[in-house]
Amino acid sequence: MENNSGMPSPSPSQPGDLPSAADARAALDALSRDRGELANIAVTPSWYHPALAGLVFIFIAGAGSERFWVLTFAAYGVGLAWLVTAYRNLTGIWVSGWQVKGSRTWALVLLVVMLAGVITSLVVRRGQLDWWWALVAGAVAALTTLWVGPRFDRALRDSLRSGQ
Amino acid sequence: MNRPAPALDPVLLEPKRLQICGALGVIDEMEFGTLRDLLGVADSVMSKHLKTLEEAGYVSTSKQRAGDTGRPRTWVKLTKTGRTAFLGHVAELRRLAQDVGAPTS
Repeated sequence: MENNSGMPSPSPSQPGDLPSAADARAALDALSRDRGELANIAVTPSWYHPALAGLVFIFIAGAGSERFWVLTFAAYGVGLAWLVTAYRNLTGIWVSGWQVKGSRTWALVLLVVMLAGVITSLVVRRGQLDWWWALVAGAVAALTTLWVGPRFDRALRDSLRSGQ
Repeated sequence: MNRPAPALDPVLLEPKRLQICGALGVIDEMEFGTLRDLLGVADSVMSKHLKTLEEAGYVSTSKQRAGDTGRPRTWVKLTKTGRTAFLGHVAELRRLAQDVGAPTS
């Protein structure tokens, strides 16, 4: 029999075979331990956020260029795909963070700053702002990425440990 | 999302299967080997549990090529049905776990 924890494995419709309170606590404790282990696994490599910040800069600053925006957008897409694949291969997990409350807040902060950056760059492309504003927008978004990244990770690991 | 009603699920009464759903319930996707190491079981045991969960519609698997070796890796994710069953099962376990402190007449 594959059951190896002492917990019975019958139909719950049979009251006599229901897990005891001790069994239930043991199962819940195991789930809690696993979440702690997952939090230890979900450690982002040190190069990840600088690389992501670089891509964000290329994307937003490039969006302000009439000639190069397609190229920089493609570079951003390819780079992002490579980053995600590298993270998945290294950690063996993928957590977008959207379904975790704490990290979702930080993801939204980054999204808002990136959106503001893209809008700024589009205004630059229309010729309504000087070209260097696109560089400023890209730099602000990149620095925000560097600032948000570790906080996103911390919130994610805290959420994994607490099971929230 | 509404909380599922507390109810023990026969499939999740097996502790390792409960642990698989528990791990997948807090992340988006997990690679077979990482999940196996987390649970501390052999490949064959892991495959057997995943097959049972997949047949119940609780998890889905996909093969993706790893960048370093080029060999396909199996990634596992919890389905909506699996999440509902897991949350209901855990709610019932919590209720059962609290019963220990309840007075017995």
